[in-house]
Amino acid sequence: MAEINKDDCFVVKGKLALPYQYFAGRMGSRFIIALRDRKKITGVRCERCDRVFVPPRQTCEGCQGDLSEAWVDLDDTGTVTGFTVIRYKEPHQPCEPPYILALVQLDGADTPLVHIVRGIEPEAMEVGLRVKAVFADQTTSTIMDISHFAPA
Amino acid sequence: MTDQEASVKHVFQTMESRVNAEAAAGLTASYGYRITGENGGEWTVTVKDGSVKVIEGLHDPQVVTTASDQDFLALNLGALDAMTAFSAGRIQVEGNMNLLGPAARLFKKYMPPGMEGVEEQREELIRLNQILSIPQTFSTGPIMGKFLKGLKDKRILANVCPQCGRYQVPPREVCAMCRVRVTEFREIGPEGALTIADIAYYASPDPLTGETRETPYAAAHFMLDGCVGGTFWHELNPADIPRARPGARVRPVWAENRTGSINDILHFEIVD
Repeated sequence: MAEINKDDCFVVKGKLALPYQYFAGRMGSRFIIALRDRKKITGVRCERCDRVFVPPRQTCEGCQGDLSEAWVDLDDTGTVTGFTVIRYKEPHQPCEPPYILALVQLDGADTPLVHIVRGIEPEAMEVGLRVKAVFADQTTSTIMDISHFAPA
Repeated sequence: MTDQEASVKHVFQTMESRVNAEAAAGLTASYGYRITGENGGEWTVTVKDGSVKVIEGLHDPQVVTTASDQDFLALNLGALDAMTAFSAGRIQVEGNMNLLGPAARLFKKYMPPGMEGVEEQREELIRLNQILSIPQTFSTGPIMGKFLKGLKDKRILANVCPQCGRYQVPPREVCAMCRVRVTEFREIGPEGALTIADIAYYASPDPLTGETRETPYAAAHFMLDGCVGGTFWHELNPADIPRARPGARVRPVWAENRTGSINDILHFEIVD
């Protein structure tokens, strides 16, 4: 076997760029518009199952009922039901690590919403923490119209 | 609602009041409609100098559209897509089909009785256009690295299978046929002959930039001089697309600044 010339090995830097369009859907659009125009977090309520879904969905997971018009407004406050601390860095993150991504179950909701929690050290973070939504100063028509949740 | 329901008849009755003046201006054509079924009938819509006349019966129209009463109503209510219905054979067209294009923009949307004058409420929908960019590094390894380094010096290197004698370009560590290690390199080309060109007219995004590619462009295979067995894939100069024929002599056009990348060759061009 011939010798491998290490000088022939090098690294090519490249970049992959993928244009795409994200469509929030009808339910998602109404959810975002309520955040943007009314600074209100909204969900849908299934009367039959007595469950409130946040973020909203068109169909109840329990009874498959249509929830597309069953909108309810929710409070800005809730409880952390789970969390993770992101400590590594990659280009598509919403903010500088370390940061906390948490499941926040809003008061009156039966499902949790994923969002960033700020204003508490990762070491002090715990399940059960009471938090309140902080709305962004500028809208981006995304879930980031809620800037983050902060300890209430 | 009112005493009247949406009907084929009502669609034709309201047609003259739904004309889009802009679309009708400068258009002269006559359209016949043969609507089958219990609630069907025949109508002729004549467009001339921006005015539209609807009369019952077929009066020597240039194009005749045939559909069932139910399908025709569904089309006008937006419940059935015209292309889908046409492809499925639910709409038949006889005569000058080219007139149907302008006809699609000729009328404002049909509104059932009781709904006229109600502005169509369009719900706002959220869409985001983004470019996902992913930085990448590609480690060449010794074989591909040697090939890419060769391009920097305007040399195209293939490697030769010790067993079958086949050339591989770009070179691989192993012969894809014999599955034995390949170590011997030979310089080939750089001129050669075009074997086949794929000409792309669809403007797809370039994955390296996210920018839409200029069309048409040609991805082609070239049999480089001295090469036995395998063709080399690259782009053909778009200006040469009209005269791209198998066997055409080609040469590479080298980039001014070469960095050891496949783009060190801009493309191949046809040599007269």
